[in-house]
Amino acid sequence: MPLAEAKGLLETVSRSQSSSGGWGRPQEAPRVVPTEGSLRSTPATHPLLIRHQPADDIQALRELAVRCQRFSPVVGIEEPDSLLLDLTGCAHLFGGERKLSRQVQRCFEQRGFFIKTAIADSIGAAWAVAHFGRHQTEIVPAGQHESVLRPLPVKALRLTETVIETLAALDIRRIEQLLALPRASLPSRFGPEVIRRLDQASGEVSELITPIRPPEPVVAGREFEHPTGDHRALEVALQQLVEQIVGNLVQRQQGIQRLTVELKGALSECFAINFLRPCQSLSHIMELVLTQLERVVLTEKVAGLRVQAVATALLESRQTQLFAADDDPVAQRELEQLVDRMSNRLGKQRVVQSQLCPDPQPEFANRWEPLLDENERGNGGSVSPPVLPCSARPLCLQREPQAVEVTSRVPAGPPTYFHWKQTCYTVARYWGPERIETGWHRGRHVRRDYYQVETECGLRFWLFWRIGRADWFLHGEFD
Amino acid sequence: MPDPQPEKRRPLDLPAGERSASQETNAVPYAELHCRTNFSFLEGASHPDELVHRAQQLGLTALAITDRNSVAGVVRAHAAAKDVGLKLLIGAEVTPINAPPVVLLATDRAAYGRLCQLITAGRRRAPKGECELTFNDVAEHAQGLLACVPLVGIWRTFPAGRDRRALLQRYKDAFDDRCYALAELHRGPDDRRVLRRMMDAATKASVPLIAANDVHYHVPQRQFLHETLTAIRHGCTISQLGDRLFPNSERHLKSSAEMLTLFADDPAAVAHTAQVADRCRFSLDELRYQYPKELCPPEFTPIEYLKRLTADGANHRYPHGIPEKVRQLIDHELRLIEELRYEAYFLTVWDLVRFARSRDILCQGRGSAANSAVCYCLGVTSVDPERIDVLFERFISKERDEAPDIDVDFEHERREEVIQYLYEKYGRERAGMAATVITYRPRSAVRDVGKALGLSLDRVDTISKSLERTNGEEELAGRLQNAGLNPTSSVGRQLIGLVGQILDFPRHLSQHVGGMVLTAGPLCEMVPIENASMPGRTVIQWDKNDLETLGILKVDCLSLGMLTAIRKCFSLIKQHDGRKLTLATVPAEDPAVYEMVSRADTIGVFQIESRAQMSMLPRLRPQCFYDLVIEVAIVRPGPIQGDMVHPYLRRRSGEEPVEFPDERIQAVLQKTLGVPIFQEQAMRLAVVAAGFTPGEADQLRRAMGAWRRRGVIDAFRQKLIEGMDARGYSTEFAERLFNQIRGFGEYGFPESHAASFALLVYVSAWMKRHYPAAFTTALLNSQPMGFYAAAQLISDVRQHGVEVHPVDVNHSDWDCTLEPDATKARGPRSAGTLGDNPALRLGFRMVRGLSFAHGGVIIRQRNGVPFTSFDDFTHRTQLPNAALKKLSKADAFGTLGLNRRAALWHSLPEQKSLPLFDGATTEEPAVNLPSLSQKEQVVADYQTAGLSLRGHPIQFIRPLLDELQVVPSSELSHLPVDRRYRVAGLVLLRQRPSTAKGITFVTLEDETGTANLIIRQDVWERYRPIASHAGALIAHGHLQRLDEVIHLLVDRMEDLSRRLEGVELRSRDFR
Amino acid sequence: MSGPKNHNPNKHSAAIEQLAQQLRRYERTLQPTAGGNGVLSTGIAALDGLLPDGGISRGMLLEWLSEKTGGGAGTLAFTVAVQLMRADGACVVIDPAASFYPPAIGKLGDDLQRMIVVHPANGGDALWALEQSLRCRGVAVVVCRLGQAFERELHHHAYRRLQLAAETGGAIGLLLRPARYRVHPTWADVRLLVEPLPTVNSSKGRQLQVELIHCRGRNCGGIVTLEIDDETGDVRLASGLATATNPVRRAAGA
Repeated sequence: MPLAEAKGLLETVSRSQSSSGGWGRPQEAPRVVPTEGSLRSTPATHPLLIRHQPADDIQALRELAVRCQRFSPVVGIEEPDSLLLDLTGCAHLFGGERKLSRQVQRCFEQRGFFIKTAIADSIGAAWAVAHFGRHQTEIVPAGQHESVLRPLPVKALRLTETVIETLAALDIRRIEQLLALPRASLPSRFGPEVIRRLDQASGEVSELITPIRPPEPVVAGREFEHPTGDHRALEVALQQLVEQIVGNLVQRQQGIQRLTVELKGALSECFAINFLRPCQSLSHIMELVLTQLERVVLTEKVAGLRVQAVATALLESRQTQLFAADDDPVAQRELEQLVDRMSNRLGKQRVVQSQLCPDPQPEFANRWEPLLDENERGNGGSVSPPVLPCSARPLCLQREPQAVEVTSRVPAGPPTYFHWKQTCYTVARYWGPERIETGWHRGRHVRRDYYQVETECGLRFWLFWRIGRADWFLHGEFD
Repeated sequence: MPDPQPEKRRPLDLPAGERSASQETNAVPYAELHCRTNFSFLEGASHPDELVHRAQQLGLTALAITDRNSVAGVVRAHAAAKDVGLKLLIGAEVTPINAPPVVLLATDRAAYGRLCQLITAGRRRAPKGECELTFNDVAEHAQGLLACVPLVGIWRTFPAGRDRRALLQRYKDAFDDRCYALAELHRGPDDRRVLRRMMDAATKASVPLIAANDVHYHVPQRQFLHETLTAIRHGCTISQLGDRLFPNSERHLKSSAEMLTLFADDPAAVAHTAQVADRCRFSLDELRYQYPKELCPPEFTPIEYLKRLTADGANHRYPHGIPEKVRQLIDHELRLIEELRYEAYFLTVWDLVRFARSRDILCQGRGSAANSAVCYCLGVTSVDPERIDVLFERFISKERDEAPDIDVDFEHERREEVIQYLYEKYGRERAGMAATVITYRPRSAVRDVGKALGLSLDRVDTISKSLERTNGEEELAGRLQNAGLNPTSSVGRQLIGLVGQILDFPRHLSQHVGGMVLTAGPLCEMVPIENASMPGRTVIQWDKNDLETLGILKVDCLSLGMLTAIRKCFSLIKQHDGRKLTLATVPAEDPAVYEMVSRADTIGVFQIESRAQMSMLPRLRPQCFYDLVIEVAIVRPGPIQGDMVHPYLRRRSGEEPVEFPDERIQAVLQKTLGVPIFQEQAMRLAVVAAGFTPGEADQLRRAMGAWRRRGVIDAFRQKLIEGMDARGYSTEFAERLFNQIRGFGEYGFPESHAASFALLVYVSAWMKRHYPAAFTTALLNSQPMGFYAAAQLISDVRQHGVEVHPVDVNHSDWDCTLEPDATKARGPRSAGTLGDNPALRLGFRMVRGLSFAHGGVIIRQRNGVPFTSFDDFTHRTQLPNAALKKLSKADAFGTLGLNRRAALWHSLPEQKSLPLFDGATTEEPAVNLPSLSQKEQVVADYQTAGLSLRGHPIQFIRPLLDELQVVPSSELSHLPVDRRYRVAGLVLLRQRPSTAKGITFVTLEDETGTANLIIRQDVWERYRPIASHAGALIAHGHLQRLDEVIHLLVDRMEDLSRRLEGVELRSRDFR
Repeated sequence: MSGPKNHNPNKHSAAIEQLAQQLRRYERTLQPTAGGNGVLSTGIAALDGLLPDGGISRGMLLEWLSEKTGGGAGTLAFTVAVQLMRADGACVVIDPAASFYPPAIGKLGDDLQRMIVVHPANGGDALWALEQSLRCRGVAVVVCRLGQAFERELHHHAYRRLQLAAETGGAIGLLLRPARYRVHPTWADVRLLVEPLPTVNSSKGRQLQVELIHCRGRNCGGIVTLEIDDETGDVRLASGLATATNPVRRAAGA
């Protein structure tokens, strides 16, 4: 017996978890009409308007469909807001339709969703009752769907807007009124749709549910009979588990992008490994796993292991244009492994590439982007660097401009002497000033006059003074 | 954050501080030769006059206005420069597609003409707003123009590696000794090296190097605005601009001292600018206007011809002899016209009117000179000089030496014919349409600035939609708050500040509604012509203010819906009882008309049908034509802002004595009981009471209006108050006068305009009074126009006892028509008349969405043989389903015995299959569609037509309303006042005249009539969603009744639309 | 995998052993890359002339000593690095101070896509990354500035390992070091001392004096004066004053 389930509309109104009042979409926010029930869990804050993202809604619906597979092996979706479950032969497992229905309700309520459910003989009837029935849970007894459908509005038949409008113009608003019309006169006036939908509701024409299949996670685990603190034993076990996973992936022609390793115990330890490209190489994976394992300080014995490839991808599906110029595949792979190795050991944020940005403010003219980033990396170096003379920018830029003491002959003029790291430098030459006034739209208006100065002995520095304030900073060295 | 310590600076109030380098001694003269105004749309960030004033403050020798491919801003700059005595150079930056950009400056009139031709050529071959030129185009027009080539432009547009020197050399070859290299330094990474390279490049090409600054704004503080504009231009946010931002604010006007600092290595480049400026001897003042020559037959001089035409016209107008007063007037006016050499202008207008009359297009002139005896004789106006007392020279100021102002209104449906006539007569090269500068209004400003600042589209929309049309700036902070944006936050302050600056900034040029420029020589040598968005239309780069400033002839051919309606009504009247009328022959001063007007029974009447006017009528009780002139002028923002309405009413009703401070003022204000109501009076007062010259008074008015110049306005205010003080008037009186003038500047009505309009008021009121059916028919056939929707006009005419018949396939024409008086249908009737009380038959034009062609098919196929059945109809007309559905929904098959639903049912199936069974009726099972109750009928009527001839939706919920103690609107006229009542109804219209300080007028309609609501701003705000959107509502409030003006001063509102579910309610909001 | 030894030397697993073996196999196959005709140009003719063999070979370590940052040694080293990278693969920059500012290298353009920058948190990590990079066959050149704080990590033993790594992988190492280390022994193949000269009016850019102060297995000595064009970034032999002394020294160096 099929069951249709209409979930509370995935709406665009939501409550934000934070009161900071940002304007973005809170990630993974409960995108549901706030009901009394779902509100309690979130602190009362200002309601936020969130832009409706239909594609995200569908994605969320698919995820929910996967979760519903505990109730039925066949779960489909009907856009924009419905889940369809085929309950044929399922209800008795849950103690009957009513109990099943209640469990479904509870399951969604716990996640903060408001839903309406209906069980009926046909998908059409269940959809109609779920959307237009009076109760949150409706169960249409077998064979009685027609009488239940009759008083419902024609909208309950899943008709297109134009048909509904035309019917409304004829003042045909309920299904029973539609049924009263001569069936033969319908197709010429409304096309084949009305008859089809009526038949689907009555069950005379069958509908199929296209089941949603979840991606299978690739997991391998092992419980030890006796908890162990021996690294060597762990290494061996890990090697086996990783082999298992890689073997699994090889069949699917997939590689690992992100791998997590959990050392189970009272205080579980967990670490993750990321790869520049989908990886199948057992030795490379193991090298990185072991490097990480070495850094784990075990405070207690490990009771079990769990290794999971949380992100996988088809091999080479993620063509990073990184080193495309290289035509030597071995060198290429070694380089990628070098990046993996350094990123996993030093931290992703420390292995980076430069992205030049045409921003007038020197600090923002270069952005460091981690090579190994879960989010797709920025769209490459398509931005051409600003047209500046080569000597205009220092090779070494201070992370923060450093305050320096400067003497100049003219107020606000070029420096004559300055102190920097316990040394007094005499300025022999200078270039500039180069004036930079920007940043107001970032909320930080920056106004600087930059001088490139050369000391008597030929060292070159980049100094600026803040326009309108008599303070000087050293911002870089032309090394 | 990168900075060592927060550089705390509120972005929008940059202290000038260290930058005020202005007052230094300018040892070396400097002229800025490369400067954009905001007429380089979204590139320049200062108004032309701001730049001029700043240049003058800085002591520049001269300033060149060089907008990109445009001279749209030069006239404003010219006017400002004349005021402050700055030498202005006229030019443009031209951007050939195959050569570096070049700044062209006009040395003399001929060179200026070539510049205009060049820009015209480029603009005409490119889509609107763009310009497409090649180097050859530039070279061909080179004579007399100076070419200043910005070297940075060469370097930027042409990558290294190509022979850049050749590029400069090409210009050198084309312009010879009139070619210069422009060096521009903006405190980049190494200006000295750049300058050295520039000096090298110039020397190698043996072209003099001169300094310029590529000015984009007058003061550095405009940097933020400039960056915002840049972001708007590129359609991105400011933070996405990257290197499209200038790294600093150096592109502002600089003094010669500042330029010398930058050009320390080559001071000659700065000094040289003055010599370049000296070579330019052209001033816009030289654009002396020449009238077209073909205005009169060769055997006459223009004045002779004008005199002759006037004499002929006078004889025609006064067949029984010309009154002495009129004869004197004509002589006097002709003498003035001859003296000021305006005959060509009058002939031009006469020619237009003559053409219109020959095509039977109704028209009427208005404007300063329109209501002269000469114009009456020429047929330009129909206001008999005997009926109004207007002094001619008041409008033709000898001092101003400007063309008189006559606008001619034409029927809105036929104005295009007149415009095409002008193009044909003078040719495209000599006739052009004036531009309208589209400027930033609060809404567009918020939308664009918000997007540039990176606010989300949703939020920008929320804010900008919540801004009402009229009052913007002061509301903004509040609106931000409502949209969830803190107005004191950084973004909030930036938004408010930038919006304030960007308001009135030009965005693009559009075509003026009807201003035509006609010239003797080629127009494109006077001003560039460019493509308008409408295909086949071209506009010049100047708007009407610019033309006025330069004293260039412009005829305004405007369109006026009421003229269409009046013409249609004239022909209906003729059809009705054979009476032939014209604007001039409608019986004058009919007491019945004034009686009706005094009752405010004026729905459909020109001008005085608005709520604001209607509430004034019972108090003013117009008794004669001049009262109508006052009525038209008084309900305007000017008089209302100046607080003149109430004193006038009090004086008129005798509550307040009519007094004058002295005789001079009495002379000015005699006619209007001592209260200035017309624009001319306010100007005149400035003359007699404050010692202004007429020219100054006019400048004052303009300074108040179209030209925003703070400093100038303050100077005038000072002068006015001092002048009046010196003549012994109180400061209070002076302040009030100043406010009045300010009001007039923006919205005032000159007496002559009011008089022209008043005539249309009178004529339309006369029609409404005597031929209500014909009048309404004409209005319906001229829609869209006026304040009211068709439904409201129909319901009004029904209340006047006219029967209205529905649209019917067997009876309707395309237009609405008059049908014979049913009661006398069988009686004998003279041919061509319809009886005393004809009925109105709605036409197919009232069927929503039905095309004119389909309507025509029905009428042709009917051709005297009525349709007998639906099948007969579909068979004969072969109309597509969509058209059948529209007719069904409009219930147009009544005479075929089909109601709306049945007809719709029949029109649903595809009709194509029929030919096979020609004439045979297809067998169809019978259907039982739900039957319609009366209420459903009415509701359906409203859904399809916006009105019902069967009843009113409100009547069906009257029992409920009774329970809620809601009174019918008809009872408001006799219920005791100053008590609270409730009324309910459909919202007919919402109006917020700019006259009323935030007050909104709402009219409700129920089955008994209409109720007038007054909603104050605070109440409006409180009930904003209902107040601004509900289709029907219940209003609670105090009843006020003064004379016959009945209002409910609302303090609470409830939404009623849900109770009327199914009725599609469309009010006419804010028209 | 030898880097982590200082952490947990006693916890070598079979896997690591296996990997080490793998590496050794690589070493054997790669060893002979640096051959006689495998000499690469630095892109600066005058510098090539100063160097033994007239350029740089794969697997070489070069030290660039300078008194203070701001003297131009970095610019020279990066100019060479970009040249080598263009010829031969990727470039790794190891910069614990995170002060390297790519916009300074005006002509880099798309090459930035082949430049990996590492910001290690400490000297140990820096040396580990340096060694890993030198050992990697996909890397053409490694530029490393340890900075004052971490220089001491570069002791004799560690340095030797770098040298081995470079020989294994074939990458060229450019080490920027303070001039006071000129008295310390080195495993580098070449040691250059870079000193800035005050800019003179006639020049198109700054001038640097470069002296070859150590060269493994050769006589050293030789000094050139280079000029870096301020506008184009081109490095060439300074004209004028330097020419007088130069040929003599160069002859000695070659």
